[in-house]
Amino acid sequence: MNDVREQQLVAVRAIIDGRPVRWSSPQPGDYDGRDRTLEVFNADAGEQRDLIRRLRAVRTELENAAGGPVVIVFHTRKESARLYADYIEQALRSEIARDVAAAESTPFEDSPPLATDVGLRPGARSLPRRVA
Amino acid sequence: MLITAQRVVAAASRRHGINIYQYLHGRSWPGRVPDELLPERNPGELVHEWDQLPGGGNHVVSFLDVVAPDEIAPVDLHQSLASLKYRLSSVMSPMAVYLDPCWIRFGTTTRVPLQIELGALAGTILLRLTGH
Repeated sequence: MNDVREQQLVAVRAIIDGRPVRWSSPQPGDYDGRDRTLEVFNADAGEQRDLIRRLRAVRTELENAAGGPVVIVFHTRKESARLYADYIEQALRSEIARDVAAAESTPFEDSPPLATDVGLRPGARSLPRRVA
Repeated sequence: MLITAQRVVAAASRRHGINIYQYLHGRSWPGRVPDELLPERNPGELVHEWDQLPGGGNHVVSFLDVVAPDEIAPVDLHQSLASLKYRLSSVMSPMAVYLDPCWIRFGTTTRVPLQIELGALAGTILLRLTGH
């Protein structure tokens, strides 16, 4: 996958609230436009109209990256979990891994405490911190 | 349920980590999270805990509290966590918002950019819930 197409996925992911998204992989004998197809996962029917509206903002950039009109295929949450569970988990983990790694590179030792944590036993009914 | 992520720093050794706590409320509700199930009123019953640093006496330098229905589907919860930093268009500290079907509270004194720290805490919850 070339850099321009990958960069567009990063932009699209932010627009659609971090849902997994990918360019579809062409298959032999496939329909015309498969290579210009964007697959959006975890998008239920009631959300798709709003997502299409948001994606209009980057339609030109998507078409330039794809080399023509872009086909958008939505997968509902149910179907995403049923058919693409491994991909969804991997995609969501990749999505959050950057933030986890970026935060870990920052020193925390000099951060003022917001609270003090509290050791809890299973079944506890209190918060694990007390305000400092 | 309440899921809490706390970034903690040991007062003596200065070691740090993110501890995760999962509580269940044992009841469901329609619509917005009711006031009586917000963390200070009723965090629920602690059912799971994932510690990077043993709890008790550490400084809490950032936290994320997520209240969601006990019966929320894993795919919905996971996507909500991955989407959090995108859905909160302006992240502040401290902040508390209703974000259907969840209630979210976030606070930090670290030097990590707010959106990245929010993503890191939400991401660590997601990793623990999926067994990583």
